[in-house]
Amino acid sequence: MDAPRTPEPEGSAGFLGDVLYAGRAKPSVPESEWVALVQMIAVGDQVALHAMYERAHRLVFTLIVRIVANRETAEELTLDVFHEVWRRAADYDAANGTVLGWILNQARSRALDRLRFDRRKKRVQPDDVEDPLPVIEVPDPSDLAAFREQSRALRCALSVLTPEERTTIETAFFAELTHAEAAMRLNQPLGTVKTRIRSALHKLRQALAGGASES
Amino acid sequence: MNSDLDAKPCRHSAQVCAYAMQALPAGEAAAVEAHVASCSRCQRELETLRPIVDSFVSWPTDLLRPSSSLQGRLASRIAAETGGDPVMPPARQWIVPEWEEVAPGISCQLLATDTERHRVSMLVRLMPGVA
Repeated sequence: MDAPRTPEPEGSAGFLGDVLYAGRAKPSVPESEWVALVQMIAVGDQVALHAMYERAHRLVFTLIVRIVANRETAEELTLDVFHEVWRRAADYDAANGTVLGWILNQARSRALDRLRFDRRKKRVQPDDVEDPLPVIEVPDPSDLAAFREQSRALRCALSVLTPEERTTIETAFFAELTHAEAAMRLNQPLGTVKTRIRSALHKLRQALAGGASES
Repeated sequence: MNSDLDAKPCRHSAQVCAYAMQALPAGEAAAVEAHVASCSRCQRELETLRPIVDSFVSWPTDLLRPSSSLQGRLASRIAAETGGDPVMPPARQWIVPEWEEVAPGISCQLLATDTERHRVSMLVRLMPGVA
């Protein structure tokens, strides 16, 4: 994932957004919509919090999981981030950055804090000595190894899917569509989408089980 | 190898798969939950599918998602804090902006535009090999 960019002025060239979206005809979402959501959250509107979650949770989750390399930890921290958005919405100041930037900063901080916490936990030993080297925050080696192994296994398993099955999973799951919405987007009958989801999951189950038994 | 899964699948198997993928609207999801509660084959099916969906966190894609919805847990946390009932999310309203190719190999998804401060929030996707 690429982090959202907040471009700075670049002299006479204007802004990055101006360059990339020169002549852009499609309307874009105004930042004021995001700010309005934060303001509604600040006065206790939980529906607005859900709306913010809907907009930002995938970015938050993806950023965190890339840092901590652990799905369960990333889910917990994603919850923490939105809980913090709920508590601290009144502190948001648009002068300091965009709403999304504010939320992603919290996500990044929480993920790094978790790595530091885990690191400290492991270092608390009677004969522990101060590490003179600069600290580079990296995931727990066992988490990282497990995450890499899972990635390797999944990538191997994906090779058993047909392109149509893979596209169907990506459309339904990663675009967060219902199977009916996915059918519309893919211009396929609902029954076909259901069948592809089922066959894809069953193939992956078999492939991942096979991979596990080989290792 | 022999298991319940090798036996003839329940006729609700496709719905259970869609449920595991969170691809059912709320009404259908509730119906599947009710069915699974009384069907051992579907319970077993769901148990074996959960780790598969969990593994999607390693799917080679740029934007991931949690393998289960966190909104219910978020609502419960806040309810515990406020002393009220959990406020569950309404039907989805956010329409994710489309990716647009702005130059060869470079796509952008514009999430917010602040014309007053001349700044945007956007994702940038570079195709392999694009410097």
